[in-house]
Amino acid sequence: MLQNLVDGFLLLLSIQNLLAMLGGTLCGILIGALPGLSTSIGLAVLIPLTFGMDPLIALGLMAGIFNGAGYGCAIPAILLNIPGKAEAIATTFDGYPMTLAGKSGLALKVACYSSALGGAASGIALLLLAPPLAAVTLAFGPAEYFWVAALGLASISVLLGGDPLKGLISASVGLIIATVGMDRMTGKMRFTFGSFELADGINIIVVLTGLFALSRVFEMAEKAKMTGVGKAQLALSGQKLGRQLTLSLVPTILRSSTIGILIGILPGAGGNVAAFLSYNEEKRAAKNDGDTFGKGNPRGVAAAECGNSADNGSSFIPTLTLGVPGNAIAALIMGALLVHGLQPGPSLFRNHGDIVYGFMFQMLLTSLMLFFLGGMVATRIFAQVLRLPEIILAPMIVALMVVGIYTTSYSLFDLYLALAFGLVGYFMHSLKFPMAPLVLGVVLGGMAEQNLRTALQISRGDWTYLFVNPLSQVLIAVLVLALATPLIRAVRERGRRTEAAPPSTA
Amino acid sequence: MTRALAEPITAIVLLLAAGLGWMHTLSIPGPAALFPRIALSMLGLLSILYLVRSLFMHREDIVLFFQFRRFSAALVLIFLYISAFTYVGYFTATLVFIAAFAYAVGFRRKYFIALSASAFTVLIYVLFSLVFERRLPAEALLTYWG
Repeated sequence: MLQNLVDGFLLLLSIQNLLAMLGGTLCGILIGALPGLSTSIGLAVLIPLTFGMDPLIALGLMAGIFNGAGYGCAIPAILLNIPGKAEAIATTFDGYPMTLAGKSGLALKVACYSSALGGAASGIALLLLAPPLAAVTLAFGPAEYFWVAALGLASISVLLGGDPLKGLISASVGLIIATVGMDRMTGKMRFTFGSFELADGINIIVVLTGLFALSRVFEMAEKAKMTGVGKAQLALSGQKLGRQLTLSLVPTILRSSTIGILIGILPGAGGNVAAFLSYNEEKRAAKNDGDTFGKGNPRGVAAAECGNSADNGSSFIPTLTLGVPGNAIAALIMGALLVHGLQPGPSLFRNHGDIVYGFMFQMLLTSLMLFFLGGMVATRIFAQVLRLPEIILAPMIVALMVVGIYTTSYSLFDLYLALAFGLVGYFMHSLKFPMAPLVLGVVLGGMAEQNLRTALQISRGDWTYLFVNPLSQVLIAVLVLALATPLIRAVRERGRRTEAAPPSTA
Repeated sequence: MTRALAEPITAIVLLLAAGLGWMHTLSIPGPAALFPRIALSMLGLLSILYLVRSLFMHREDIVLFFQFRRFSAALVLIFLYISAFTYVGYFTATLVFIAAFAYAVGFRRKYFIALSASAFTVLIYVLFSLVFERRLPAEALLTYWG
């Protein structure tokens, strides 16, 4: 492990890796600052462009985007009261009032440094916790890997978004898409309908860019926002942080980082949950100034931003060790790992230890880069992108998508397929079907099928083999709990409503 | 299209897809058909639950095709862009596409369109042709005049 740690760190010191992390962080701040774009779209457009790059350079770009966007989304939240992304909603509570009080520059500084520290803490947690967990998973056999894939799919489908039924439907569709092409074990063609292009299956890049990027383009075209933000609204004030304020934020950072790290480890919970919980805990912990929260208290901004960034690195703990992503972004990066020939799970640490440790260091370093990149000059520049109308942005996203997919496979068929997935994504978004379970179904489907069939081959067709090992039983129990969570929540909610309802006076 | 109409139609489409997919697996021999059948069975069962639930839904909010004209314009232009760029060249097609897309959905500031489209195309050229050295379809205009 120590050797991999050292090798991973040394790999990062190349100029290309450093530039990749720097470029990724800058792009991430830009993407985060634009309310019309999400981190998912940015990654979905970027992933095909990394094809052919060294895996660690590609991962550095993605780590930068992930952490950069964590701060970037605070810019419109603080300046304009537009969160843009769910993670930044809690930031508006105190960030925008600070702008109204003429302290926009101070709010952005607090947000930047809190994001950086939260992300760094999460990166350290990833480095410390992932390797021991990977060692535990060496005891897993094919049956356990199958249940891990099922658990990952079930938890993301049921816990992410408000509708478990639609999440499970989305995951089923993803599993079916994963079976398209030649079956690796028998060589039989499945769902190719005679098409030569589908013999190799459907490329995950095509699914990602179509679902996330193209579907958003259709929405932008329908909404047709013709103007960006006015110049006057983007004027920044310049206040210093000060020693007293800095010291007062230390307990906030420690508390919010811990909450964010723990939330990140749980599959299904995202940055917005971490941000809200951190904000609420900070408000509760405030002894004398609890009623200043929501009126421009810098601790509110610090708690929200630190919490949502501390979720970033730790969400990769289940992703890298078990192959179970902690949130939708981790699911996308899992897809990217597969594109570069890296199968998430315990074998990743065994076979590509230097790359996986290198990636963990990248998550740490790109957070720290925010200290230098998120300063006043940079923020003034990034804020200007808000002036670009969405309707100009939409065709640019298409152009990036086309160059990304075309230069991966040099196939027009893949572009038409991406367009089809774009339409699917548009319908899914309109009808409130979550997209992350579909992506996860495509990513985990192959792993689930291979391990299921291997387990059945070992047991000569005896299905009870899947249930006998105590590890499998633990995973099945957690799976059942994950599937039952919405029911439990509904029953508790009904009970709470019954208690709160006034007694009838019949 | 309202939610009360869109949701049952979607459920029926998913159920039909699950059924047709299951029929297709009858032509896949041996263990290769196992996993697709499991996934299709899940989809079929969940679609039935979804259909039953959606039939009791009475919401009339519009969920699809808020602006069908702009949606169609975007779809047609993207299709034409994908079909044409290998013939006319990526950068020519991109320049025209950005301008046509913005204009078709109602953006009328011609100077802004021209400036944005040009700046973006130059940026893409620098990044992908010079820095990343990606091979893209040759520009037909340059070939014709070259």
